[in-house]
Amino acid sequence: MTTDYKKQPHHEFLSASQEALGKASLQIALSRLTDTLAAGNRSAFSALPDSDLLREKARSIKDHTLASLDTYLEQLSDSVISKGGQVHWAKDAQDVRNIILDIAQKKQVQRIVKSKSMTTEEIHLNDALENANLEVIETDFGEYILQLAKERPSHLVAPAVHKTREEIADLLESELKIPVTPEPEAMAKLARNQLRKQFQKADMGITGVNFAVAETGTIVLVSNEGNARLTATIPRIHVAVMGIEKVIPALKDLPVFIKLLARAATGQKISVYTSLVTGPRRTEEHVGPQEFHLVIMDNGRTDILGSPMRESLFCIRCGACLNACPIYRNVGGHAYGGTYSGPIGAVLTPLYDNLEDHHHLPHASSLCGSCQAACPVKIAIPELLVRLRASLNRQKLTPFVERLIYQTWAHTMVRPGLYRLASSFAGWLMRLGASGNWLTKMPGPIKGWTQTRDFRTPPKQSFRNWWKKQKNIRF
Amino acid sequence: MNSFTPDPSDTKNAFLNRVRQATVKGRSFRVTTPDSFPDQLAYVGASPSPLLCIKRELESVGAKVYCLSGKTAVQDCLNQVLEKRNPQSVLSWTHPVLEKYEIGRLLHEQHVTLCSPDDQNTDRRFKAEMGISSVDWAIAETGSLIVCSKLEQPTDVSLLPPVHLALVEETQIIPDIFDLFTLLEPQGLPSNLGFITGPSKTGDIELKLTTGVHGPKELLVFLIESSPSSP
Repeated sequence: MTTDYKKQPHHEFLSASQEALGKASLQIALSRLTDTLAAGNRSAFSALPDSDLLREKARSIKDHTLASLDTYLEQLSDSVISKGGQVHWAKDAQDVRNIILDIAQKKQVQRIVKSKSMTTEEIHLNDALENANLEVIETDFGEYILQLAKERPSHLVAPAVHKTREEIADLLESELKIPVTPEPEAMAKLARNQLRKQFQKADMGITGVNFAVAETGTIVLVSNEGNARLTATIPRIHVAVMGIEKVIPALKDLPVFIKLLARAATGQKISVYTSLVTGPRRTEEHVGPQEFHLVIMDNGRTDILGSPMRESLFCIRCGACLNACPIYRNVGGHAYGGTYSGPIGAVLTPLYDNLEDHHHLPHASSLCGSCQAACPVKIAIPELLVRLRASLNRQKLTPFVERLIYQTWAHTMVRPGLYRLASSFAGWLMRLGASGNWLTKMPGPIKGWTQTRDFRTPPKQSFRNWWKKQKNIRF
Repeated sequence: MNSFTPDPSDTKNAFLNRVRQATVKGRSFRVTTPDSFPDQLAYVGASPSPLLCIKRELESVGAKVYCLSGKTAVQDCLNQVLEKRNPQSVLSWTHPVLEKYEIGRLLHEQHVTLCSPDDQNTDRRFKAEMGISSVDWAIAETGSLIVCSKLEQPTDVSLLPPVHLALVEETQIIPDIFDLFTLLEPQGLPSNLGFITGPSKTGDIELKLTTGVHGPKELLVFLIESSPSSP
């Protein structure tokens, strides 16, 4: 099967997808994921009064914030500093890594615990820290499993969803040298004991940021396990890494997003733990980090901010689009080949990385719009994907024949006479190649269209001609 | 190691300048027009009553709820909980509600070691088997307990031990998340304000719900009804 596509430019994504389609355990995991999470999203939104308008409101807040982003980032920085925190500005991935290594060195940090952060995944932070001989432990249960397996997350919210319980038990046993039954309860207990020891020893805790409130200098951490809360409380230094798009203007804007995030992600009304962290511990407190560092990262986001793809920055990383997407549902996260997968990943990966290496992603979509319908901030992902496809054409990253076809099509569509001629001709061609009323085999480069379906041939008389004849009959 | 420290203000100004340029350019790609939305859009509130609503929500997220009325009932219930779970040591807040029901004395009578907020021995704090707190507020809409960190209310009480017991008086219950944000002072936020909604959960293994990977495995809530005799 894959040999047919060897010469095509989509090779990597397609072969990874084919492999995923053939993996039974992955298919079971993915259908379980979508049954549970996507259904949860739909029922949670229908149960919330005015949920549609609330999503519009959230969308509007994000749009407004981005339209004055520099002001809000500066306000955020001032607020964090006034509450005793420190702010670092990171232009790109390398900067973030250097900043954190610098803090670690200055403060004699040896051991680091992390709670789940896609932002730190994006910049491959763990590799850099380990290369500097620092011990790094992922504490999110799914991420901990992946760290042991040396794999990358395949889903925004349930990163190890692609693994079966047996695979996880085997992994835990072989890495920890402790026997465990493949029951989630037993494995969770084992993980708790192992990870609790790590928390006690850790010098630094690194988290992401779900939202950053400019008015108060507050960062918001959302989790179900409590590891984000532990990471931001136990170690003496807390480092929070955020992309510039995570800021929201004021405290009163926060409940809008709190009401939407968990519902969109899993169907819960709210996650188990939502923490509002404002600076390090106060002087009189005994518990909490002594230092709070906020690392504000660009890493390509300003390029997106000033472009037609700006709307993709509204994303609150809930994963709802992944759960709704028929492509993701069938191939899973790893096939996308980037940090972010699913519909939003198909948009962000070409933008954060480069379009050429990921030229297959804008086409990894049937443009069905399920993602947009599930999105809590109503990002028009299909439209963004189409814009990326146009970029592919403009940058000549598509085959010449394909670009020629598009140009011919565009030329024809705006000329009614030419259009009528072309559609009659196309109909005649289809009837020529058909057996009976069905066209079962299209030739050469367009054979993909009939690979899994047959086309009904159009009748000799087009609807347009038939209608012309009806026009004179009175009904 | 090569020390990477350019002048911090240069980095900040260069960064913000880049953001400013992109922000201005990006304004032509706005997708919404400034609109005014109702303030508390999607206000759910608490029905049929805050007490009944919060009980229902707490149970639906896996908390164990004890509905109690009067000091004796609370104390009896606590004694039963302590007898059943038999903790050696307990982390506790210092809080008027806990004092009202004489929690300290009851723990002492049951020979349970109390680690008060002053106790800074981390080994002891990590070993505690139960955490007892009250709340700053409790939200009926979602069954969320709001705990603000302070000297007398250390965050680890509701986080480290495998069992968390929260005493919630009826007067502490507010209907909706929006009500919380009406009450919060933007410039008066604590270093850590936590929403706790049920015991710690994970679905990371095959999406099968399991409790207690990090936070408490059990959340026990004493819902204490206001009665005419007790304030």
